[in-house]
Amino acid sequence: MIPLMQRWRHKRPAVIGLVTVLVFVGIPLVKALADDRTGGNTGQESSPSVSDEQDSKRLMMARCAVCHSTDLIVQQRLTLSQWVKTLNKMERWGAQVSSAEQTQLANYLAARYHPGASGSLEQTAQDSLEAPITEPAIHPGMPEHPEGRPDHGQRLFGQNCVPCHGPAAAGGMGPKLANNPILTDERRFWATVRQGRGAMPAWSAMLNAQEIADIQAWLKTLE
Amino acid sequence: MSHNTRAVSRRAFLGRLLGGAVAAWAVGYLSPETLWGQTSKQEPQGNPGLLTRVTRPFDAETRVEEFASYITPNDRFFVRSHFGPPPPEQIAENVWRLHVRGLVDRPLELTLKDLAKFERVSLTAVMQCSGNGRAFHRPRAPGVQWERGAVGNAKWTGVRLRDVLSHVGVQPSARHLQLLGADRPVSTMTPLFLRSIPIEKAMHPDTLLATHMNGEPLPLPHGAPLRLITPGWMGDACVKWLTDLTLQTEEAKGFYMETAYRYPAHPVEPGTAVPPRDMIPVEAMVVKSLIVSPVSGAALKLGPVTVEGVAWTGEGKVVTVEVSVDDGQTWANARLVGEDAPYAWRQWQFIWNPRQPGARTILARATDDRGQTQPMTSPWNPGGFLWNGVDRVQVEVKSA
Repeated sequence: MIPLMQRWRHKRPAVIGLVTVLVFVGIPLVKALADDRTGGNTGQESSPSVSDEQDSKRLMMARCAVCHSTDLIVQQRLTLSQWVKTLNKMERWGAQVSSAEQTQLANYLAARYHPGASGSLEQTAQDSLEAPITEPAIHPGMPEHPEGRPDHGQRLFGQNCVPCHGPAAAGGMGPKLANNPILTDERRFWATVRQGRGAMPAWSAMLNAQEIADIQAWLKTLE
Repeated sequence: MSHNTRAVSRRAFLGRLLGGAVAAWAVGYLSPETLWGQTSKQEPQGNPGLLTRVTRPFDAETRVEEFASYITPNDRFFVRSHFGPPPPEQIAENVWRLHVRGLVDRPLELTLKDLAKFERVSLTAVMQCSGNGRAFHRPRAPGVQWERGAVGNAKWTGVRLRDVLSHVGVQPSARHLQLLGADRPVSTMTPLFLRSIPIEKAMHPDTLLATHMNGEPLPLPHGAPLRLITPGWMGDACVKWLTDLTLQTEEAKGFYMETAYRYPAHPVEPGTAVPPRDMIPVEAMVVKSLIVSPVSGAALKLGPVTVEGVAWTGEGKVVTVEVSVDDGQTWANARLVGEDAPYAWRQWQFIWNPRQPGARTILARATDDRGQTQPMTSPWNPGGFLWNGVDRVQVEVKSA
């Protein structure tokens, strides 16, 4: 823990610089390339299936609910270009959204929360309740709590958990997880990650059992 | 009632135990709302006076019925911030300081006790979110979709900002006062809520550093221990959890001053993109009224009914409130009643005697001493600020 923290402190300016470069240069570059391949983001969509919807809803939860609840999102009535603009702003502000994810989110949001959609905020919130999020299919034969791989866990933690729990899991908006007794309380750890607790989103929709086990394994290596 | 009390004390306990960030989470944890299922019908923290707009960070508006009271009670007062309150231990009296620096002769660090040495003053003033009524703009503007209740009238007590600034000695080159509070975003990449006001407003004798709201120490959601009060101006200037005052030559830099909370200097076609150089900061309130009773959707009996409400304006004074019950073809003056104080709202009443049953719309519009009147529809602007269209309530008049 101490060496890790020292390393982080030492490298923090460089890391922040790198992240900034990636966000400001990398994402537009990747987007430009992707747009070039697909002939641009026209916002056209083939009728989305139920599973696509579920997937997009999970993505919205994982990427946006880190900083704010999703009721803020579903009350908006924006065009596709306004949604893209909003997503770009949120990415500059720290949302970790890949180019492909941005396209998926923008299309999902513009299809549901557009200027012509129902004006009733109550109705909108009701709609978002109707299709409960289901857990992604677990591969048959996968044990309920698979063996975790710390190296994978470190990467997954960086992608999903750092904004709230901080680098090196030292805590932030969310509690410190390094050395947290919850890591060895199997039942409580899995229940909290899967079902969420308080402001923490339910991650069962976003992370499968292997990924949760990986994160747990990495967290256990921290001192 | 006992349920409310218990919920509140449980929250307070959790807040003390776990700190502010977690307390903000606990609001979501203890109430029945889920991140998905939030609806404006649900009541946050068992509080029937508030409508939640955003669960986290917590944003809620007051139910218009509550405005039957001249003073809006603290626990019914609308709540708005960008990042939620700071952890209580960061603003505890033994650690909290107000830093005054920049273009001043004697930079200072003040405790609450130091502040208490200045003359204590009180005034009653309307506090209103700049985006109050955003939900009525067409085309829709992005942001929290406030309807009618992101406003309230409270008695604010504290010290004159001018007295504190005079004490440190403002240098002649200082043109703007930059304001920063103790609240912080989740991600370090998110800009801070850095704001500024022009030196003229900072030195205005009615601009306060408030420590109390309606006679109580400022509650945490309302900016404890110190918030700026700029009477007559929108809430974007009234920075909460205040810790830093910096005198400088320019407006504050960053998103929340340079980009957000600005509107076109001249009216634009709805939906138009406006070049940044044509945008000016949201400052003074515009004249506005609300119909408090009857409520929207009320069933009324034939015969006289008292229509009542409140009206306010920016730095002037409300002189008339008119009511129309024929879709704006004719208007009749309402009677201004109750307290008449600068910056506070004015209550009004109108006796209406509907003679035929059916669905009816009641309209209200206020006019101030500068000749500002509420338009039918407020001028559109990209941020959806400063809505002051004529207020309307639909009712059903029954025959029996």
